[in-house]
Amino acid sequence: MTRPIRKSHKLDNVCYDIRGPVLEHAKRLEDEGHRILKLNIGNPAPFGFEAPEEILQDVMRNLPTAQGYCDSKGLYSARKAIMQECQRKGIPQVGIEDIFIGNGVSELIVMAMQALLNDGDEVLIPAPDYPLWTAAANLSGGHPVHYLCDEANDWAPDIADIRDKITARTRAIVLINPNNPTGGLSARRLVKEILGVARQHGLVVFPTRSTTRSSMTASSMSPPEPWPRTTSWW
Amino acid sequence: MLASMRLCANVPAQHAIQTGLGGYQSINDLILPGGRLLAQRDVVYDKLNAIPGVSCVKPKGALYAFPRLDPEIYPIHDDAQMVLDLLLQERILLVQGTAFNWPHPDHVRIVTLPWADQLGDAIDRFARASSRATASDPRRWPTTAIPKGRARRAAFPS
Repeated sequence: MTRPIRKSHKLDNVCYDIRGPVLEHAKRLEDEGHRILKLNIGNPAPFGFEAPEEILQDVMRNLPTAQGYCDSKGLYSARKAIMQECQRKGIPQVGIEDIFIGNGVSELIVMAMQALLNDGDEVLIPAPDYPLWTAAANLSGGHPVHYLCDEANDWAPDIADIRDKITARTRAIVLINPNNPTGGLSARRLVKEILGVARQHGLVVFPTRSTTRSSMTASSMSPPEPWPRTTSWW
Repeated sequence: MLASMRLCANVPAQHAIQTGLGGYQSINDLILPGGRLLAQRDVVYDKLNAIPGVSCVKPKGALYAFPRLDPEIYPIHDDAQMVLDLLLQERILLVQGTAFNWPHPDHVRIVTLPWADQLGDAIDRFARASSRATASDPRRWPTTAIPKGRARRAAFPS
């Protein structure tokens, strides 16, 4: 008699459909020899977007001395570079001890949610969202509360909806800018307005950027405007 | 404390940060007029909006488009099944809007990373499937049921 091994109840409300059942069908079709055009995940390398040679060289040259653990916050030189980037962007009061480097946003989102949320605490997350935020809030015992982005207004966050959904349990507001999945880019004025609401209610703001250092405008591109001071940065 | 519990982040990869932030690294060549990412975005945007009943806000950043399928024309009740139909019928893999916690089953996300001609081909396939859906009985799109529960576990043992 063996006891079945079941997954934990913590996972009951955790959902990440980007790699859901449809992907399993795609794998089956590929195994049967069909060619699938995959437009499902934003993974640049398979489409010929490769890291610049200079960056590859840096990693290669340092590889022999990169075998041990480093400080849990991250390499000093890398954190220094991040600190200087903050200075260049005019983000004040970011010292080297304030900077934590993680294994991408996937790890840092879960870590930040675990550190911040008590059971039942609420996090304001855009709809549509990068769903890891919702999954991580649930996993950490919190409640994701979705505020709407307005499709008729270039998918800008609906600030009235944000205000309406703040309660005594709200701890944080997530901004995804530029947004995944919409590609929407919020104006600096709107971001400042949201930061004002957060300040008024004592909320942490989690700004996430999808993927790139720059953004396109309607006909060409411009570098994104510097973020105003926020509680965390990655 | 949480950072200490996992000891540290990947050390070799951290050596990319300094140059990534400080060097002459830029994606400007990709997103200025003539750049690859901009061209791809434009193809997706133009072709999607040419499909009857489909509208797409022009993406201004990131790598995605998130078109809407007008529920009057495409009364989709389960967008995951619609995406499965697209996979089975047209061999393209997209992600349904509800996977991004969008409250209505009327959007899909399309990654704009492939070359423009590939993307054009993908949108043509998407248009073909949607025209089939409107030409016949729109309620027949989606047509394929995703197996659930025991049937799914049997089909896809994890």
